[in-house]
Amino acid sequence: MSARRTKLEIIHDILRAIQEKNGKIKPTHLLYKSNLSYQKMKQSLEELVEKQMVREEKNKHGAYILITEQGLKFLQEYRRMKAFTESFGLT
Amino acid sequence: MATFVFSPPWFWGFDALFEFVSLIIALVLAYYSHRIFRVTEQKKYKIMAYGFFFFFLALFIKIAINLQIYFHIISSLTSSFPLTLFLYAAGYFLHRFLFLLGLLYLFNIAVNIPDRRANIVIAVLLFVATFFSNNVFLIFHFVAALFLIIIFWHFMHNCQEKKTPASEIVALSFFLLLLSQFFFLFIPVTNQLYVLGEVSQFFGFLLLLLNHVVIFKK
Repeated sequence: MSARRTKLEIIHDILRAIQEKNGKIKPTHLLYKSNLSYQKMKQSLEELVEKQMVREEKNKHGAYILITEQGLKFLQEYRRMKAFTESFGLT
Repeated sequence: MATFVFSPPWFWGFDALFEFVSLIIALVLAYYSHRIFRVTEQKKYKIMAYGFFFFFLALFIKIAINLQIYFHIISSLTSSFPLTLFLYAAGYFLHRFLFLLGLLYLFNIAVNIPDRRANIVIAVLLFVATFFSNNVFLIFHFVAALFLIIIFWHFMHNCQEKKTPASEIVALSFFLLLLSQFFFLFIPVTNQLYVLGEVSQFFGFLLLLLNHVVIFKK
């Protein structure tokens, strides 16, 4: 059984899921890809919008979640932190 | 009279230069570990930040005293010779104690000591060993080597598990830091070993910087 994800890991998984879809994803698809409950995803997205890491967009095809420059920066920093952590065996 | 200088005269200043670079690297690692701690709030990063910060302080003190002894930078440090000796002895004691404290913190990464009281007892023992021993120099390097064996073991194990270039660099860097302590331990045989110890320690820190640079270039 995998360990419970930390808040940081959840944020990373959400942002990475958006990035993998060329920076734009439908909420239903994100729900599936991030492996979170609807409530948890809604709560996390609100936080990410507040931190300007993602933004919401609505058009005739429906609603989309878009990753921002801030979100991409977070992903890069997260990768560095992970590499640093792994190199020192802090995992 | 206590011996403070172990470096051969031709190496005076080079050791300070090597240690200055190491000091900067230790500060960079302490800062980055603390930054991750602020984001993640995980204690292990705080422990690592403290470990490298104590290295920074220890090296700073050693550089300051060595430069004063070699080049008399502050010409009128004190007018009293015994007081000057006391200041040097106190400075070197502080250097040794802080360096071992840094190693104790990194030791806590390698070996999880859940009870904080155990760490306090070890810190007190380090104080006693570095202050009251008849041969503080050898005791210091022996204890440092002992800590580094365990720390290196941890990084070696991590390297075998992860099999990444970064984990190999970190393991190699701590191997060099361990090797430097062995060179220092045998200085009574010939003071040329001081040079090897300093060079080995310098390359150990340089590899830690290399790892950091590689990570940041990603």
